[in-house]
Amino acid sequence: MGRLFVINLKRIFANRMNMFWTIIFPMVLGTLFYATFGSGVDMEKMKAIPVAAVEGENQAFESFLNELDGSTLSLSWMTEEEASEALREGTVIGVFYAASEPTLTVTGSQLQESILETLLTSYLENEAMMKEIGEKNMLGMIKAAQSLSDYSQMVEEVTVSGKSVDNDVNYFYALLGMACLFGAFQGLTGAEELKANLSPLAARRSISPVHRMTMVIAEMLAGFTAQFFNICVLLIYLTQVLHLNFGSNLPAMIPICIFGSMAGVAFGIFIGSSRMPEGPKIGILVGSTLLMSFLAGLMFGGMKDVVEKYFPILNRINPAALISDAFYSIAVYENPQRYRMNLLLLALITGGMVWISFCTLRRERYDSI
Amino acid sequence: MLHIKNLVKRYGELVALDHLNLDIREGEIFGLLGPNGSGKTTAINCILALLKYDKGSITVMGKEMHPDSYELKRQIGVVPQNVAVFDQMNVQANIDYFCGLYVTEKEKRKQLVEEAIEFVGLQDYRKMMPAKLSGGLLRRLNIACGIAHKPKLIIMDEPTVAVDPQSRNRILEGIQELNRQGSTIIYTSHYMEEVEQICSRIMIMDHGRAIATGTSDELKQMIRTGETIHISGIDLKQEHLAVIETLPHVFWTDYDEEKTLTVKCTAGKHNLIRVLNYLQEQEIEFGQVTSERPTLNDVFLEITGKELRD
Repeated sequence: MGRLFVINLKRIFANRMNMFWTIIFPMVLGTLFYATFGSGVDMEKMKAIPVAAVEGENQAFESFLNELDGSTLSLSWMTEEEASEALREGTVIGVFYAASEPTLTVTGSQLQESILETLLTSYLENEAMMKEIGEKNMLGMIKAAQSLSDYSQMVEEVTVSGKSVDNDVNYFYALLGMACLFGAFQGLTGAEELKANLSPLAARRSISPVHRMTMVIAEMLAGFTAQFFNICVLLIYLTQVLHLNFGSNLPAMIPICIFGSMAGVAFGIFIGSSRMPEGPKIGILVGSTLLMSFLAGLMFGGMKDVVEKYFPILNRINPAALISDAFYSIAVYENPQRYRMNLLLLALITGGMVWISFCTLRRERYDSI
Repeated sequence: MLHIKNLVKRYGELVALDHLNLDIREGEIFGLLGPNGSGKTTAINCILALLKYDKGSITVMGKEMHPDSYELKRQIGVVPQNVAVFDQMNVQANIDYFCGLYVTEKEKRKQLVEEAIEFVGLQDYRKMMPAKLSGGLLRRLNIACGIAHKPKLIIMDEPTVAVDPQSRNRILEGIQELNRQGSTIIYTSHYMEEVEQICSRIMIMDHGRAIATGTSDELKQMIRTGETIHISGIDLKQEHLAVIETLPHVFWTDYDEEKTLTVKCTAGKHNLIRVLNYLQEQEIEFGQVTSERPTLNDVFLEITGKELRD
């Protein structure tokens, strides 16, 4: 198994076409993005979101918003009519109402609106937590109130403070998602070299005394490993050569790259294990990978949000969107639950594709060759 | 060594193998001859347990062949019809890879790979990538990958297709050497002369059936033609041709536009002398005269009624 794995790995790295699609092409695309957006893309750069706020009886919420003014938010206090007008005109992204039950009005569903929503949700969760502490322990309530009064600290924990809201970053996350999916080329080649009815080479390997399972597993593992290595190279290129700043998110990005690479390779194996001729398979592979990347926002930054609004299930089953969203979960939303959910969905999709492919590839006798 | 009994393989309505029976003895080079679509490759794929079949049984070295007959597979080597090597690996790495599927011990494998490289004469090309090799060298690499582990049974499916005469000779000599070293060989080919040159027994297949089996001489005895006489540069009239057709053992004549007379006779003595005597008696002048014993091609044509097609 070890020997087969190593040889498969060497073969994969020696395959120029695969290397082009899995390393060179994403690097070229990344460089083009970099040339287009300049070096201004910084994951830790802050762009304040223009937002209106309407005064009400909730002074705690008003203080909370004031704390964020100038950093995450560019806050303007207005009357209800003025705020509605500003929202209509698009001079603000959303309107906060500091009522006893604070509310938010937005007109879109893109990244900035999502961040405002996250802010409100975070505040409401903390408020509920305070109430619960107060009911159980008055002393704890005082301590909690003290900590709540220090908004900067709370904001640090529950908001996107200090993180990017730059839409340009979206392209680089989608690029990483696409690069992961291009692992499909490794998978496709691997699958074709395993099915005796698809190539003479596969037939030759099938008649060897190596157990079929050993052959299939060695091929899959080599594909996963090679693709993960490729993504690491891409990441190093983005961070060290193009000097994109992923900040403290880098360690959390590694699992995304692992799961993403596995999804990509699994997708290729899935397509490769079908009985279609090689030409149409490559066409389907390139087409579907680019389509998934497009839907995840590779060609148009807000595409993922558009899909989320009109057909959200697509974002749950599109590996490119899941990869991109996982990056966002750590880099922008700071939402570990969403991050884990994305990884879980990726794992489930990968598992499904691997299982179906496995059932096809483990077959040892064919009706026709 | 190999025993096939009543093997039936259908592709839908098409019967690819029709109750095929075959016995191959240990130590022989067995030739499988047949036109395209006659069932040769299908039979090989069934033997190798790559193809499902509808009926019959296949035993190799006394054991029934299944996809998981790994111990049996260890003793079989296959040289497929199409070159099946990795484009991303050089000559030596390819041979080492395929040998490694059969032989795990590193030192032993190293030695076997060296022997295989030498055997097919690829010493000067060991570091070359397959894409850089000529057709003949590529075929030799294909053979080396199939035989490096020194199998007891070697199945070669048209290994000399599109190979130049020099490479072909080298390959054929190699096959005979493998046989001398103790391997039993199943050899399929379109080339009659190759089969006749190296095979100890031959089976002619058509429409998935075994039409005739035997040694080259046995097969030749099965057909009517015992001798074919060609006489060129001859002026013949229809009545002369009619008389020649009545000579003893003559059963077929042809006189073409290029003034060449072809006479086919059954096996017998003095066929040529009788024809020449008649021409002399009639004072008919002629040019070059040749007399041929039947070839495997004659056998094939007479038995299958068709030309081999590439």
